[in-house]
Amino acid sequence: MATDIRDCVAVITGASSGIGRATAQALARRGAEVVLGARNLGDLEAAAEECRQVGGRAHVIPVDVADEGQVRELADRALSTLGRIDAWINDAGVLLYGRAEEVPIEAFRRVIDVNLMGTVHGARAAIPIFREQGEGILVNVASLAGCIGDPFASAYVASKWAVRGLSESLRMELADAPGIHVCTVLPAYVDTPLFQHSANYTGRAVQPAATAHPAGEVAEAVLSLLVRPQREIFVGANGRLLELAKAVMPTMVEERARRRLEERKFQDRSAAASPGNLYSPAPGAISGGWGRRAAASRRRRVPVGAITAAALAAIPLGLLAWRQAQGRT
Amino acid sequence: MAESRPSAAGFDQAALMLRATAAFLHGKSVTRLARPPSPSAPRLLPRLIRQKVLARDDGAGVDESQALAEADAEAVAQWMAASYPRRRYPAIVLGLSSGALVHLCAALGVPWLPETYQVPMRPVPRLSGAAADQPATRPATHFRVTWHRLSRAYKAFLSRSLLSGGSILVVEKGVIPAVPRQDGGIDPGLLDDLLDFARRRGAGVVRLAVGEPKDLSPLVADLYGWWYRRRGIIARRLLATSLIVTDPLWTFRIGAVPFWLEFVTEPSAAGLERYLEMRPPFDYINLCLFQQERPGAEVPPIERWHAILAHAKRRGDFVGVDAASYPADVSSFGRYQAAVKRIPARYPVPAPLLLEEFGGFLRYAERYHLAVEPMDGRVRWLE
Repeated sequence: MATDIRDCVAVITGASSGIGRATAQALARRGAEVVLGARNLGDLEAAAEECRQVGGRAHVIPVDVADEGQVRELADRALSTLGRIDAWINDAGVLLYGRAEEVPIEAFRRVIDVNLMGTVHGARAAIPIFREQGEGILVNVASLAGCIGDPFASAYVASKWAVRGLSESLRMELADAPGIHVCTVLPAYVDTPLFQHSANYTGRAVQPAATAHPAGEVAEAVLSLLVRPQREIFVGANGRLLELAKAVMPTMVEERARRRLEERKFQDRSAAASPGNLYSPAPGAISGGWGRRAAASRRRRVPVGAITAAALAAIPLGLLAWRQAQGRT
Repeated sequence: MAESRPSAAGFDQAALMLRATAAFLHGKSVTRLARPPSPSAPRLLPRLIRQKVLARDDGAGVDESQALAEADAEAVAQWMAASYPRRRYPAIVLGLSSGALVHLCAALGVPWLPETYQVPMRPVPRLSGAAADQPATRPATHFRVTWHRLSRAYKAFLSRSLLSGGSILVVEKGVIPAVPRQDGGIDPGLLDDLLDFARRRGAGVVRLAVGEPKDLSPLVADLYGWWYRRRGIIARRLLATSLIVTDPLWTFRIGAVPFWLEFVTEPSAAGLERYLEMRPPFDYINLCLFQQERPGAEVPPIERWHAILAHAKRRGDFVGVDAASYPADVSSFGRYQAAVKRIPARYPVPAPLLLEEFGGFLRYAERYHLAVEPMDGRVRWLE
C-alpha cells in the first residue's frame, strides 16, 4: 500500500517529544490527520497545536503504552472518531543507563514494558484494524542499538533488538495480508530530549554524542515508509555496513564499539542515581538541544558502491581473523 | 414446510458441497465453483463417471444394466472419498447436505461424506447397495443415490482415515427433541453398518439430529463468532450464502461469520432476520443469493433482502448479485469468487478447532433445536 499522506490517518505514540513529535509535525505539514498519544497531556496539546499551525488536523489521547488497555482505548477512540487508521507509528521509548546487575530490576523491566511491550501493544491494537481494512502500515521505531550492544544500556539495547525481531516476525505473520506492511526504523544518534530524560544509575553524567541527527530527519524517513514501505530503514549511520562488518568480524566490531562507548559516553562529573522519565513523563520537545548536527546525507539507502567496497575489504580481514582464531585453538 | 426446492439440474448439491469441504482441507479455495464434475476435466474423474457425464452431455444412450449403475454409485462414492487429503482425522462426518455443515467440517478440519447424492445417469429401478429414486422434477439424466448400507468406498475411507479412538459424527434430520428417527434421517441399514464398523475399530459414534439442514446455520454462525473472539478477532462481518455457495477458505480470509441459507425464499429470509435480531449487530453484512432461471413462488422481492442488509451497523452489501436481474440473476454464482475477494479484510486461516471445544459448544445444542446423542463407544470430547 502506498499511502497518500494528505489523506492519511496516523496514530503516533511517544508523540509529545523527540522523533514522535517531529513525525507528527511532518505528517501534519503534508495534510495528514494525526492522533497523538503520550503520557503528558499538556505536552500532547502543545504538540497538537504545532500540528494545527502547520495545516494538519490533530487529536490527542493520553496513553501509557506499557498498559495494553490504554493502547486499545487509543486505537478504539482513533478508529471511532476517524473511521480508519492508515498508519500506526510505535515511537514511545525510554532509556536506562547502568550495568544490568546494578540497575533496579523494576527500572530494567520498565524499559522492556515501554519499549518492547509498548510496541507489542501498539501492534496488537493496530493489526486487527488493518486486517479488517485489508491495509495499513505499522512503523516500529527501533534504533541502531537494535544492531549492536552497549555496555551501559543493556535494557534499551535488548528492547530495541527485540523490537527489530518482533517487526520481522510480524512481517512474516502478515504475509497473508499483502496490503499490510511492517517497517522498522533504525536511527543512529538523534538530537532529542531522550538522553536528558534517561534513567541513570551509572554514577556519572551522560555525555550525548558529539554529532547527532535532527529528529526531523527520522520523521522524513518515517514519511518515506508511508509512501513506499520497506522492511527496514537506517537513519543517520551506515547501519548495513555495521551489520556487514559485524557478520565478518564480530569480535573486533564489538570490542571497538565497547571502547568507543566507554570513552565517550559519560562526562567526568558525577550524577546521582535517577529514574529519569521512566515512571513519570518529563517535559517534551522535539530537540534535546545537544550535539553538532550530523551530516544528513547518510540516511536511508547506503550506496551500493560503499557496501561492495566494505564487503571486499571485510572478506580478507575476516579470513585473517578466522585464521588467527584457528591458530589459537 | 413447503419450501420450493430449486431445480438442481447441471450439478449435484452434495458433490459441490463435498468439493468445497475437500478443497478447504487441501488448504485451497473452491475453484470453478459453477462447475460440477464434467467432461472439461475428464482425467480427474473415474472412468465410469466420465462415461455417464459424457453420455448425459451427448444425449447418447448408456448401458443401463443394474451392475453398471451400482458400480457407478460406488464410483461416485470413491470419487468423493478420494477428494479428501490422505491423512488421519479425529472425526469423520456422514450425513445430510448443508452449507452450514461444510463450514462446521472446515472449522473442525474433518471430512464429510454425503448419505445421499445424485448421479448423472438415466434412472434404473432398484440397486442392491443403494436405493435409486427418480424425482419427477429431475431431468432424466440424474438419479438420486441414498445409501442403505455402508459403501465399500466409504468403509475403506473410514478405515484408512479415522484416527484410532476417533468419532463418526452422523448428522441427520430427526425429530427434536430426540425421538429416534424420522423420514429423511440416514438409512437404518447404513447406521447399523456404521455402528458395526465403529465397534470393530473402537471408534465412537455420535448422532447430531437437526429438524432441517438449515437449522445448523445459527449454531455454526455462533460457533464461528465465538471462535473469532477467542482468537482476538472481533467478528464484525456476517456472510450469508445460499444453497451451494460455500467457500470456507475465503470465509476465514475475510474474517466472516458464515450463515447458510438453504434457498432464496421467504422462510430463509425470515430465518436470517430472526438470527440478526437475536444477536448484537454486525458491522457488515454480505449476502450472496443463488438464483434459478425460473424463480419459485416463495422468492421474496429484492426489497426484502435490502431490509436484511440494513441490519448492518456500518454497511450491508450483496456479493456478486446483480440486484437489477434478481430474482433470475443466474450469473451470481459465477461472480461470487471474484466478488468475495473484493471484500478488503484479510485474516489468517486458523488451525482446526478441537473436538472438545466443539463438544463444549454442543452443550447448548437444545438452544439451537438440535439433539446430540452418543450412540456407541466412548466419545471423550462430549464428556
